[in-house]
Order: sequence, then structure tokens, then C-alpha cells
Amino acid sequence: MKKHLVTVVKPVLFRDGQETNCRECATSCQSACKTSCTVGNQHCKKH
Amino acid sequence: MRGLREYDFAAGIHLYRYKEQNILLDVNTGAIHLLDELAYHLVEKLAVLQGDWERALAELEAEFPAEEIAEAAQEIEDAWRNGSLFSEFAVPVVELSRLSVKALCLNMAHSCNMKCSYCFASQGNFGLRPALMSLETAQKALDFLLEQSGERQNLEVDFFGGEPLLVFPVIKDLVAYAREREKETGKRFSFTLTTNCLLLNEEVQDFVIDHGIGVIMSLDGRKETHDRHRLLNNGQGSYELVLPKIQEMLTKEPVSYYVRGTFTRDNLDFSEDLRHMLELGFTCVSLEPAVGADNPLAISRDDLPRVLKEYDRLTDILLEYRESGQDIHFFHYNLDLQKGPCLAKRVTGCGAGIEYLAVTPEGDLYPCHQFVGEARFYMGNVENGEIDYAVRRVFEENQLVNKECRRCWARYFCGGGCHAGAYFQGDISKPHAVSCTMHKKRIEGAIYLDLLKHLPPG
Repeated sequence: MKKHLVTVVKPVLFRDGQETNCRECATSCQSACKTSCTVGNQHCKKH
Repeated sequence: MRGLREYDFAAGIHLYRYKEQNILLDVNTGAIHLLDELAYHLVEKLAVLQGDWERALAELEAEFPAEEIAEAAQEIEDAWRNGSLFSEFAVPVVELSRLSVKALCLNMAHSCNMKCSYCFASQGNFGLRPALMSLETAQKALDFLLEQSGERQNLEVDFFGGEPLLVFPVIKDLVAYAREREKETGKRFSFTLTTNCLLLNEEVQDFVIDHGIGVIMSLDGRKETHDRHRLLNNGQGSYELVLPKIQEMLTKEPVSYYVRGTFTRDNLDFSEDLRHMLELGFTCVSLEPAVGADNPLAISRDDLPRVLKEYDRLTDILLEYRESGQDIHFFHYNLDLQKGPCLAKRVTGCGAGIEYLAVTPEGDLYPCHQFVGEARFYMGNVENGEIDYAVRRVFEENQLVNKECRRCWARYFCGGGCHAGAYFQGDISKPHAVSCTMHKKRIEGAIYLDLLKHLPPG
């Protein structure tokens, strides 16, 4: 049982199926964002 | 053992304190760890001492028991060995030249029934002559999108302006046209409408519902905030006119919505505007800083200390609502650390100029809504369906790997930032520092809120 370091979110960016580049997720500026680009808050359509 | 002497700590990890939590992000994998005080200090020292374990451990001996230090060091090393810490990875180059168009921002009207003082679109006309989009041009834009979309099935169209509802009859006819084209092509359009709400009457509301259109409605928050800059053409504030329309719209439960506001130097206490929106019962909300190099209302470097504190307050408010059982969707905080976009999306950003284009009322194409009217970024016209690939290549090449932010810890959340924000500050390849600072603060708050969901009880 670890007591100094607790992993809360496991590695996700390179797991299987994450690098598909299908681009089916929403376009950033087509929603509430029109001036300050964010991509991390888009959701993968394959999940 | 423990060779980290060559590790790029600045690019590889982000260590920060947020309230009661010591948070460690492994940038390349997205893994997030919570640390106790000892582990926090150890990682901090490793970064400062460029991976010199022996010195880092020795410097902790005065503060912590040796046995505890050894334990913490082992746990950090275990995380490293299992690939969730100090990961190494070069920012990939993603081939974008064959990527097809998927989204259009249709500037239905280069005209507006309001004159908001912070408007980046120069009160609706983008510095061009006032104009309204005809049905013929709108249909050609849709045809252009279908032709340029390749194998894509799901296409997106935002009705934007100026104020798009100035040409509501065109929007109605265009949606009908799109549904016919869907049957012919097997593709599907998702529509959104961005409106100041003055014309959001019952007929429009019912249309939005009947056709599954997402709606983004502008409200800056408190009445005094909203009325300071969101002015009618007679100079009066618009709060009392638009709020009832937003509320009516939401009673009909649109397929998706955001109540979206802008904050400026005049309301640096913008968390109170967020609170006001939440007290009105809105659960999908957004507040964005005013932008523009020449905009005296845009957030400046001098404002940042206050703005960053305000984002802390905003985070507190979102947490307060969650703890009371109401999950609020604040656009820029909508991180899902487990189910975010793929790496290819993260390194190529918003898609402007490549898969996302803006169309003027005359059918002229630009890389995005913010570039409209910038002659050097003119990309063609929907009439002939040709795209200027020289302009497109500027955006294909302006991806993360070619920018100075390729070593920034926040790179996989912002994708390199807003092209237009950088361009209008002087260089499209250099992100706007003030925007970056705010963005990083939002990411820190959003990570904090999201990871609380993953904590074991107690």
C-alpha cells in the first residue's frame, strides 16, 4: 500500500485506440468557445 | 541507478499545489498522482537538481526521517518504472494534408442588432461591408462542406454572425435543405446557433427544439456586468430583454446549450457573474476573456494576478455546487481525464484552416471566424469550391511540434492555443502569453476538480 504517492489517473494518452485521429470529436470552436481554444475538454466519440 | 540526469523536467511533469492537494501531472501520459509533503518535496528537488537523486535525498534528511525518505523515493521510482511518471516522448507530427473539412462557421449576417463594446467582429461586420447571407450562398456553403468532407459522416455547422437570427428564414430553409442532402449523401449535420437572444422568440425556440439544434446564448452574468457592454443600438443595456428569452428557451430543453459570457477588465470579479448564472439555474455555462490586441477591454498582463485569483474562486464555486449535488458544465473545465481526445487531436489543436472554416455572407472562406476580413487569410469562395492550399499549409504547419510551446506542460490540453489569438498579437506561431497564463490556470483548476471524483472515499 503506497502512502507517499497515489496514482489517481492512470496513463491514458498512449493507450490502445487513443491515437486513431478519426476527428469525429466536436470541433472546439463550434461550441461555447469562440475565442480561447481548448482541445482537452473535447470528448472522444469512440468512448 | 535512477538515471534522470538527462530528463526534461519542465516538459515532462507539472507539479503544483491546489488547496489541500499536491498534484503531479505526468505530461506525456496524462497520468496524475497525488503526493504527500515528503514526496512533493522530493519531486520538486529532483526537478531543481536536474535528476540528482543523491543530492535530493540528502537535502531532505534534515526535515524527514530516513526511513520515510527511502519509502517515498521507492514509490516515485516505482511510478517511473511502470511508465506513469517521468515518461519520455517526443511531440508527434501529425499528417494533416489529407484531412478533410468537417465544420463550417456560417457568418449568416455581417450585421448585428446590438453593439457590444468588446466585440471582436467590429459590432458584427468584421470590418467589412454589412451583409446578410442569401439562401443560395448558404446552400452552396453546405454543398461545399459535403464535397470537401471526404469520408466523414458527421459534419458541423454553426450559425454565427453578427447576429444570425437576422436571417432566420434563411436558416430555416437551409436546415430543410440540409436534411434533404443528408438523405442523398448518408451524412449527418449537427447544427448550433450562437445568438445574442434578442430575436430568440417562440417561433425560433420551437424551431431549435424541433430540429435538434444546439444553442449558445450570450449573457455576461450580473445585470450590471451584462448591461455595461452588451448594448442595444440605442445604447441601453439588453439584460432585461434577453434573460427571459434564455429562460424560455431552456424550459423547452434544447438538445444542448451553453449560456456564454465574456469577461473584461471591467469585471475582474467575474466569478460573481458565474455565480449569478448558476443562481439563475443554468448548468451549462462558459465565461471567456475578451480578446484583441487593440481592445482596451481585453485582459492584460497587469490584470493577471487578479484574474488568477478569480479562477480560484470560480473553482470553489463549481466545487460548492458539485458538493450540493449539482454538476455544472463550465466549458473550459469540462476535462474528463480518462476519456479526453486522442493524441492526434491534442497536438493539432482546433483545426482552423484545415477541418474548420468560416464563411462570410458572400461565401468567402477564411480559416476561422476570427480571421474573417484578414485579406492574407482569404481562402477562396464556396462558389467555385476551391481552397487556397497555401493558406491551409500555414495552419497545417502551425502545429504544436513547430511551436515554442512544444515543451510547455499544458500542451496536450490546449493543442498550441488559438491561431488567431497568436496572430493578432504579432506572430501566429507564438502563443499569446496572457492567454496561456489564464489557460494554464484553468487547466490546474479543472484537473483538481476532476481528480476529486477519482479519490477513494475518505
